[in-house]
Amino acid sequence: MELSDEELCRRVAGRDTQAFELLVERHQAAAYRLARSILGHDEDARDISQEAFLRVYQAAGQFDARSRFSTWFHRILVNLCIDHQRRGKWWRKFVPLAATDDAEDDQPALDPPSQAPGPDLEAIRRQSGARLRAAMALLSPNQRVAVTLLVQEDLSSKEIAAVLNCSESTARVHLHRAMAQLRKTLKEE
Amino acid sequence: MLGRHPESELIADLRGELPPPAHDRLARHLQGCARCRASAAAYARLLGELGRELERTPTPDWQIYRAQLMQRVARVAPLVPPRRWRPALAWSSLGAAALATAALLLTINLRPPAPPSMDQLTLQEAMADTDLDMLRAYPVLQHLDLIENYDVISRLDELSPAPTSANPNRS
Repeated sequence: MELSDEELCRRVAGRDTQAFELLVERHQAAAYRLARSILGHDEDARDISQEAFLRVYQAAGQFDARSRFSTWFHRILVNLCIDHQRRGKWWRKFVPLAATDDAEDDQPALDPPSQAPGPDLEAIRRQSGARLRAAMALLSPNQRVAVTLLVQEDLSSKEIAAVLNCSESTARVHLHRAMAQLRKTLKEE
Repeated sequence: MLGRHPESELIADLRGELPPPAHDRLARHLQGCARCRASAAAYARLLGELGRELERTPTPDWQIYRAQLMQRVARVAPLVPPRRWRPALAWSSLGAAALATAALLLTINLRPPAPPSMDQLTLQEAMADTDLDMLRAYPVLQHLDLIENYDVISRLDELSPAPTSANPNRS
């Protein structure tokens, strides 16, 4: 029988290293992708997501089993990401987010505006991943977190609210504003 | 028809999060609002595109990732001990505290009184002298007391009347 995240976390509190490794294996990809989408840097994403797991190891005894482990873990990770961004290197603000990506992003981060008019579908299909990430980089941290948790982790508005420590209606407003901003940015290009 | 554009509910509705009454209300609004219909369609497409893009995010070598993480774990000591209720431990702590308190009380009660210091001796002698003087003069003191009582009784008529109450109706 597969142990739940909550049970694994309880074992981590008792310094069970195997339980910790299993927990890491389960959540490493999601944690890395979430950190990557918030921070926009591979190295930072690796460092901060590892830091989040480290915090879990240190504070597993504080986990309140009434909530889901994933919500608790996401909150730790998101807070670390936002703190890291606040302490971030100022010069990164002058480098478009997509320009720091891997080799597949050789093209400029912001393409010239498309001259071909058309519905949103055609416009979105033409967007490269770099352009989409560049548009994501223009969102506020909370908006970016909300969208990433929705799309990547398939969290509901209520669960996003729990991670962002806000009301459900506020989480919905973050989502709506994020989507409206993305739509506007991509349309303008 | 809603009085405003319920745009913040569009995504929740796309994901089926809205309860039936709210969903029906939104559906009625969408029937008559081209702007919200366009937003809902655009959000649906955009979410799909974002999902595909996030899936393409390059990931590190997980073995190396976990090895690095475990090195970091090995370097740190657990900061927060597990918060677990242990009845046996709690009762033994309580018992130890009770024993310590009892031992303290016994120590205080069984301890022999400390010999008085020179200042205390002087003070006690002076007080004994005063008490002795009072004992010697006891008949005089008793007499004075009686005289005082007689004096008060003989002057009872000179005493001022007791103050009357502010409310005469009050019994």
